[in-house]
Amino acid sequence: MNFLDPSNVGSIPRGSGAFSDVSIWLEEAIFGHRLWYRQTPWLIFLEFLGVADAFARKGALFAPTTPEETTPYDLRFRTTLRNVLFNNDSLPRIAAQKRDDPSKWAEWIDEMLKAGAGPAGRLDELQRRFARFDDFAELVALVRQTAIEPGSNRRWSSRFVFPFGVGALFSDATLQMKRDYNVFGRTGELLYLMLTRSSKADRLKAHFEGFFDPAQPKNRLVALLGSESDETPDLSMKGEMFLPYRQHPAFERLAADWLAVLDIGLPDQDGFAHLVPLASLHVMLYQLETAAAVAGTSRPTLVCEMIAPKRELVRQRSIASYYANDALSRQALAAYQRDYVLAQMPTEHDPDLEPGEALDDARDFLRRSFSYGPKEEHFGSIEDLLAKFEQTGEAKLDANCGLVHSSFGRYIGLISRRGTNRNRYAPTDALLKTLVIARVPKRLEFGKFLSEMFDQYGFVFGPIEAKAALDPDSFDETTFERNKERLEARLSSMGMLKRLSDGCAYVLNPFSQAASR
Amino acid sequence: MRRSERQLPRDVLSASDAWISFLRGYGPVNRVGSMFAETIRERADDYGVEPLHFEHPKLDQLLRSLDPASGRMTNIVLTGTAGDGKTSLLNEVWGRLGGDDRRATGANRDDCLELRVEVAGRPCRVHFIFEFSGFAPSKGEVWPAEKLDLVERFVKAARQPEDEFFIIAANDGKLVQAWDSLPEESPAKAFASVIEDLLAADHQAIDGYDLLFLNLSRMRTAEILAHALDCLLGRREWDCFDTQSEDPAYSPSSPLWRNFKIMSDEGFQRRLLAMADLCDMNGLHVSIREILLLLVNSLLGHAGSGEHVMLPDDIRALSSTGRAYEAAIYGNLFGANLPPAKQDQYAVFRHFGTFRLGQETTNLFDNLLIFGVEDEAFMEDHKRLLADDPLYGDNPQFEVLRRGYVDAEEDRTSTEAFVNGLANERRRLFFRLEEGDPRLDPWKLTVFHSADSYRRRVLAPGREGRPVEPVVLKTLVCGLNRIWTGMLVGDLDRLYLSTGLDFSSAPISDIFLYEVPLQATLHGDRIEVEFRDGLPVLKVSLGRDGRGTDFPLHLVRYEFLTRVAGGALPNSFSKECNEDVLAFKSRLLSEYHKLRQEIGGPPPQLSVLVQEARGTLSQKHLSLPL
Repeated sequence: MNFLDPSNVGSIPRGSGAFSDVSIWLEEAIFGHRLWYRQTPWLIFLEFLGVADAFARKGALFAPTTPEETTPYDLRFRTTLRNVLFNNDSLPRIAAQKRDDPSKWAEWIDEMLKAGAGPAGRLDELQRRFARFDDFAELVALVRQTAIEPGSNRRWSSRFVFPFGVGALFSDATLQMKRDYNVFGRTGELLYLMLTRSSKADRLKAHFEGFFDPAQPKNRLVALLGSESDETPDLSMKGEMFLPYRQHPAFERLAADWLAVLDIGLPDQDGFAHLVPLASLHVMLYQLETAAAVAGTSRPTLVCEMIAPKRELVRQRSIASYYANDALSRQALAAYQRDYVLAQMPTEHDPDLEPGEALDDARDFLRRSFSYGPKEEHFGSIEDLLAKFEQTGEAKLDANCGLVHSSFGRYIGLISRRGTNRNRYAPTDALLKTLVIARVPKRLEFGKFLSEMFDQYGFVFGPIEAKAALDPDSFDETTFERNKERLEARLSSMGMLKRLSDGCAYVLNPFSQAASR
Repeated sequence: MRRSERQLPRDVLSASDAWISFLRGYGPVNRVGSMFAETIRERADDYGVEPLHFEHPKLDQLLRSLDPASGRMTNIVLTGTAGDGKTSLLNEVWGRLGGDDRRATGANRDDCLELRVEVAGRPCRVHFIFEFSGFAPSKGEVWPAEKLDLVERFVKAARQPEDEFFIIAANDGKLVQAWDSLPEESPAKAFASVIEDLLAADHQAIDGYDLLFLNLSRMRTAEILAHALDCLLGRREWDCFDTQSEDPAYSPSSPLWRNFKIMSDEGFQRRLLAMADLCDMNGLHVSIREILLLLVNSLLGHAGSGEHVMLPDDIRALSSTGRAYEAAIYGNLFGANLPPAKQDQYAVFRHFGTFRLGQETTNLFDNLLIFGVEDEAFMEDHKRLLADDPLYGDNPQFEVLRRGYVDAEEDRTSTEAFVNGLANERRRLFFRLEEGDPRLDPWKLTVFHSADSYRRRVLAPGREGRPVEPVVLKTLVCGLNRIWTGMLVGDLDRLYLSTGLDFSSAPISDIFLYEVPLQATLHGDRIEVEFRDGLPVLKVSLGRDGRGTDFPLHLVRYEFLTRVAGGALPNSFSKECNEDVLAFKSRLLSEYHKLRQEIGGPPPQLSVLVQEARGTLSQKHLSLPL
């Protein structure tokens, strides 16, 4: 599929607030608005769930979307619930006291009101609901144990609990219960859009509708800790999300992996442990693939090192592979500038224009098409203007979109510096397990598994794929053969590989029904 | 030079020397066309010696399925690793079905032959494919028309037998690859999934197909070893020890003589067979060829000789200089005479190496080995177990190293030599210790400390059809509880099914779901150890009609659970076992949820598991308005 075909690429409506809000609209035009490099896999997933829930409430879960339309939706802050969970330091102390229930409740409500968790009516609801204060405290402690990324040092209003159901979903907020974009940075919105534009949206809908059913037992449990008012949507989003491509192979691959995991039918939300890293992985690969296409190079490959006891050639190949991929977004930007900016810029050589007019036209063009309206009033020439424009675009990319590859890669356990001082691709055991669960239906012969890794993700482990991906002079058969053997041993030590005889091994999906050992 | 012009070994060597030299070829020496079934006949003739031969353990089963006179005939596929005796077996079947002696004499070595056999009076054609990888085209090449046709007729015969039958031998890997390389349009292509299923599920037959699928790599190592020992030790050539005892190579001072004596010892054999049996219980199979390699290497291995395996002259040299201990059987058994890279090439040394015999030890054993000569506390045991060994008790080389260690001399050159020597001494001790002594349990010298308990309390009852003792279940359940709940619980009388509030495999799973008492209840919940195909399986059954969920009890898993029950952390000892146990939990939980859904009714109250003092678990019910 050539997803760069003009019929497949949309532009953001010029009247969109998102467009006018940014300082320059370049990387967004290529990749979408926006990929936020600091958004961890779980935060992406939680943001996504909130958006999906919002559309489900409108009866439009995974309904098709296009780049040109804005689709507003409503989120919930669930102020009572999140105050009870995360702005509630006094609870353990009060619960431990040996007093009668009514006085415990009274003191606790008092403390909460002082912390700003009112109004009191909402908290009274909780008292009426729970027969004993201790049961309430116990439940809060239990639910709090499932907090996402507890080690992170975020404000209490940016702490989230495990998504048991719709009752546990709420939008990120500032301490004043307003929305900003530092934690939920809109990557979750893009994830939602990607899925709506895959051919498997309907099948995904069936799975998520089950998850969004409020009658689910765990959901009812969490709902006990909120108030009635929590159910009211109190945040209207304009829905000015933007994803340029109507179709894209990365969207299909993402949906296929998610469906594979959901179809296994793991109990409750066990599957989330795999959906989460897969989402970030596919978003990262989407960016690499798109950058490569825009820059005019072939689909990126990722040479993965199975960490060896001593330095091996494959490590150097992996480092080189990482740095090559890391440079792709810059290259894409340069190509985009060349093809879409320079090509259409008014020049000073247009005979119909006055010299000053050409410069004004140029500035106007940049503002209309790329939202670029710099504060500096004076530019000597169009060259100066262009130079500043390029510089601004590059600086923004380097500080934002250009960091997505290394950042997401590290979050999911694909990129690491272990044993060396430079980044390279070295997948962790957890990531390998997720890949097996997604790609191995029941069992898959090891050679086929390796080629599957290459076709689906561009991962290079063994010599056959390395030969296809690398230049002949950087290809060394033995080092990749050893790398492949290390992967085999690793999978075997995780119980996911069965050797029949030398030369014949099968990768097993530990959760597939038929593959019980 | 043609064979008839060469000087043959049998003309040059004495009968005994010819025997030893021929035998050496079974060991880890470079195979210059020697020990493959195809060429062994020729080599045997060169030396004037009969090859080692014992009845293949699977021959009986094969022949029982073939009785053409009474109409019993079937398609057969034999798979297994190289060296499992596939070709020899087929040659034998060829002969029994009336084929001529071309195969037995080695005159014919074709990949494929046809035989006319009368099945209940009806003339049929039986196609023998002796070596499928030779028969199938190499990777990337196109299938020749006649061969493709033969394969398609095979699939047809498997689905609907008429007057053509096929008997095929193939390495599992080659079988799968060959089917992959068939052209897409071929009707035989669909058969690939049948083969995969049979291989992966370890089945011998599949509904709807007339096919006996024998995977020789499922043969029990212990059984092969028993046959091999009998066949090797029973050879009349060993009378050289009586008839030629003046020859240093065959006198009591020779390492060969000593190793042979040890190998013939009943206690040694029992211990060796126990190790082989436990390898089987870990799912590790050793082929026939490698069993023979093991035995020959044990007898003739020596690090300092050419290719690390002794020739008769090497034996003489060691014998006359009193250095028999350099070729002691104990190290040879584990390939210690070979460099590590070579050891790694052979599955038998890798598998036996999993016991880590020689590397594992306890304070008591090392004290015995190192200080036993001098220290009063250990002297008696040392004398009994080590010094009084008439064959290898006297080891001046080790004594020097030991003294060097004990005296802690500053200029000790190499600790490596001492450590290697100590490893071999540990091995010697292992084979000399008696079974069943709790203070000096030989299995404590391996990594499987609970091997004795496993053999006595799990394998023995299972093989005799008795149920296992409750204490075994208690230990296993304790291990499971600790890993599944993530809490350091004690010996409880029930198995807890719990989950985390978020993930069912949360490290601390304290939301109570269900409990299965060790004592069988009236509801049908049961925990038991079953014996299936010779392997113990832990089975947990939920509800009266619920299917049991299985957990095959390999030795390594038994060891793992025993250690966890004894206080070890789940992530030590074996990550793979930890994953296996968690996968078992996942399967059991799926079964539980399925049954819960079938039963229906209101969801149970939320109940949290709380750990009390003394390692018990209590449930705290939260009365929540759901």
